[in-house]
Amino acid sequence: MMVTIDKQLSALHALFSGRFEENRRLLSQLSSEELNVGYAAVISAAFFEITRRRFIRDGKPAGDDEIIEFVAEARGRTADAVDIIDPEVAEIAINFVLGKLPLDAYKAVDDNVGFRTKSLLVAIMVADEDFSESELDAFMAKVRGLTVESLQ
Amino acid sequence: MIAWSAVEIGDDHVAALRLLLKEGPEAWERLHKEKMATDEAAAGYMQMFYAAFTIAVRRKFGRAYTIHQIVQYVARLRIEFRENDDSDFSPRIAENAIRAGLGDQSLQKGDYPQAIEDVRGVQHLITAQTFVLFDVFLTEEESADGELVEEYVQEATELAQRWVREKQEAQLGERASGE
Repeated sequence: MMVTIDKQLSALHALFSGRFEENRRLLSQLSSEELNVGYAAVISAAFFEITRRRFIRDGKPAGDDEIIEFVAEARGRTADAVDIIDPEVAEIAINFVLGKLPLDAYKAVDDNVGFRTKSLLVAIMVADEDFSESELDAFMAKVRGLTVESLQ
Repeated sequence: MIAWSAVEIGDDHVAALRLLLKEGPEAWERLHKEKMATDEAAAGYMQMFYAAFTIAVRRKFGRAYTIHQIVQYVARLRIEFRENDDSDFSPRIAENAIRAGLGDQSLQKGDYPQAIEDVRGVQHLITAQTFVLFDVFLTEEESADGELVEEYVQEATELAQRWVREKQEAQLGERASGE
């Protein structure tokens, strides 16, 4: 079965544009399958893309210290970020995407904790990029392509 | 379960903490092999150690602190720790240990590895507590006038004695209500 991801991408786009109310409204319209499969896949793809964009320079992934510092800093961005972002899961998720960990390293991560952690981290990293509208469109196109690939 | 009525903080425990602060964790390791064979025997030493850790975090963070200060502090400690060691400790366990030491009431029961079966948790907890204790102590020592060890020993002894008394009373109470 082919999962459609248009609604999920719209919700994510709203989130990245700072339209939180619209993001919540669109998410509330998704079925639990559309959330658990489609939205999780969209978040994972966006997380993959933005993490590599931020932490790979000249083809080299950032060191562990930089990741530890970033996660600690990110957990101070909002009042509840400290609880939403699990530091160990965040570091594993980032280092995994950067290719610094073995292929099975992410398997031990609880799905819900991983989803929560990545959702907030991805929003923070996209905000830090300060995309123009056209840059955000280009980024979303990449996320769409990656998501389609991952769901095939 | 530890029978707290058999535990009393005495000269051995006081001397052990003094040794730990003066000579470092290796000295404690030696004691561990010699004197902490049973839970009851180890309990007094562990209370002294937790008390010293608690004194350290209270001295460092005082009453006014934010959770994010603790998060940032733990991140810095882990970065330092990893420079000298290829191991690491869990940031969440370290943060929660510090928050517990500061009397943070918002912590949930599951936030803190207390069960001895949680071997990984307890190992991370002790590593983190040791590292925090020495970070705070050694930083203070740089500007102290030489009495710092005794200050820590005295404060930790009083705290550990109070904790043991509280545990004894709690256990007595449980027994009384169980009969």
